[in-house]
Amino acid sequence: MIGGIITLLALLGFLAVVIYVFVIKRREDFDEQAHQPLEDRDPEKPEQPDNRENPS
Amino acid sequence: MNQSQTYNDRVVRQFAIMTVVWGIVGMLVGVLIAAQLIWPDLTHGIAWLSYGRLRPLHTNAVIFAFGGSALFATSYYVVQRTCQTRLFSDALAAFTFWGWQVVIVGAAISLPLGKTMGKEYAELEWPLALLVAAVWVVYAVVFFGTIMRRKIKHIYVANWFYGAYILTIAVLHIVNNLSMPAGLWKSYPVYSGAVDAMVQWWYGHNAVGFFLTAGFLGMMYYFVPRQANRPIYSYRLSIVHFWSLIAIYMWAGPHHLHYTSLPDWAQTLGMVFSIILLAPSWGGMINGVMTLSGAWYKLRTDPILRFMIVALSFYGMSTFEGPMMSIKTVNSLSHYTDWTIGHVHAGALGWVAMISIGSLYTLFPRLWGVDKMYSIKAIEWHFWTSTIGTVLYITAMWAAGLMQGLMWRTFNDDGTLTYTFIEVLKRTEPYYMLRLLGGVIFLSGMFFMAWNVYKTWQSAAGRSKAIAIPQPA
Repeated sequence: MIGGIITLLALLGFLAVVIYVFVIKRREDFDEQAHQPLEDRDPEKPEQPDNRENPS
Repeated sequence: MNQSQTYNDRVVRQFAIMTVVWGIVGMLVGVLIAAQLIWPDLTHGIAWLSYGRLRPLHTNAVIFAFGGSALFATSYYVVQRTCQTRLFSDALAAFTFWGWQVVIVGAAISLPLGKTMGKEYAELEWPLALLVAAVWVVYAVVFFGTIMRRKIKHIYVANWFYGAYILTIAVLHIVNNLSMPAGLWKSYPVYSGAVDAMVQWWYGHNAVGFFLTAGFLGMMYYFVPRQANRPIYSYRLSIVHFWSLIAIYMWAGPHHLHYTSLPDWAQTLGMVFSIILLAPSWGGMINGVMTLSGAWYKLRTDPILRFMIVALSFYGMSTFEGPMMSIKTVNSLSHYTDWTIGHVHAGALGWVAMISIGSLYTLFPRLWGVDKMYSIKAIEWHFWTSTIGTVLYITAMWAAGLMQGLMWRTFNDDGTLTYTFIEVLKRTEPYYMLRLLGGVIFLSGMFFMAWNVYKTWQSAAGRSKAIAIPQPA
C-alpha cells in the first residue's frame, strides 16, 4: 500500500518535471541559459558562437 | 582594479595543477599494484609497500586526489563564470585547497602504515575523515554562497550537478563514517552486520553516482559546450536528466551485495533501480554527444573535443554495462572477478579521467590568459595514449573476468570444483600483463600533459593577471 503510494508520487514528480520543462517554460528562457558557457571569453578577442553546419 | 570585480582564479589554478600531479601519483601507484599482481615479490615483502596497503592508496589518490582536485578546480571556475561573481570567500576557498591537500598527504602516509577503517573508498581513519567533513562543509559554503551572490538570474545546469554532488557527498561521507574512536588511529563503525554493509554500499555506490558521475556531468555540461563553442543540444533534456539521475541513483547501492546476507527484497530493489538508471544516464550522454551534431568536423582538428566525445562514449558504455552487471544472474558470473575491475576502469579512465583531462586542456589557457595550450601535438599524443591505454585495460579485464567467472562455476559430476584457484590465477596472468601495459600507456600520457602544462605556464606572459568580471552595461 505505502509502496504503491510512494511509486505513484515518484511518477507524479517525474511528470511534473516533464510538464514544467516542456510545456510551462518558454523555449527562449532555455536558449538564454544554454548560451551561458559561451559567454566566457576574453572581451578583447571576441569569438562568435558557432552555429555553422559542416562546411565540407 | 577592485578585487570584487575580478574572478578568484588562484584557487582554480592551484587545484588544476594538483589534478595533474595527483593524477600522475595515483596512476603510478596503480601501475605498481598491477605489477604486484603479476610479480607478488616485487617490493620484497616491505609491509608498507604491500598490495593490501597500496591498493586503497591507489583508489583514494585517483578518486579523491585526482578526481577531487579536478572537481574543485572546475566547480570553482564554472560557478564564478556562470554566476558572474567572485567566489563567496577567498579565505574559505583557500582553506578547502590546503585542507584537501593535507587530507591527501595524510592518506598517503596513513594508508601505507596500515591505518584503515576497512571500508572500501572510505578507508581513512577518523581524524582524517573529520578533516574531510570540515573541508567539505566549507566547500559547500563557498559554492552555495557564490550561487547566492550570483548576478545572473538563472542557475546554469552545470551548477545543479555540482551542487547535488557537493550536498550528497557531505551526507554520504558523514553518515558512513559515524564511528566510535578507539585510540588515535583506530575506530569502530556504529553499524554492524548487514546494516553496516548496506550503509557502506549506499555510500560506495553513491560515491560513484554523485562524486564520479554528477560532479563530472557538471564538468561536461560546461566544458563540452565551451570547447565546441555551441550551446548544449537540449537544455530541456538536461533538466529532466538532472532530476531523474539524482532521484534514481540513490537506490542502486544494494547491487554491490547480491547473494549476501542482505535481505533479498533489498537486492532486487537495487537491481531494478540500477536498470532504470540506464535511461537518465544515456539521456545525459546523448545530450553531450549531440551538442556536436552538425559540427563533427571539429573532431578532426581538435584533440580536446575528441577527449570529451570519447569520454562520453565510455560513459555511455559503462552506464550500459553497469545496469547489465546489476542483474542478479549476470552478477553471479561477474562478481568477484576482474570484470568488475574492467567496468570500474571503463568509467574511471574512460569517463572520469578523459573528461577531466579534456576540461583541463580547455581551462589552463583561460587561467593563464593565453589562446591555447603550448603544444596541440602533445594533446594529440595524450589523447591516443589515453584511448589505447583504456581499451587495452578494459578488454584485458573483460576477458579475464569472463574466464574466471566461467572457470569458477564449472563443476565435476561429483559436485567438486573442476579448477583450483591457482589454475584460474595462472590462466589470468597474460591478461594481467596486458592490463599492466594498458596502465603504463595511460600513465605515459599524463607526462605529456605535465610537460605541456609546464610549457604553457612558462610561455604565458600575463599568467597572474586577474580576469575581470563582465559588468552589466
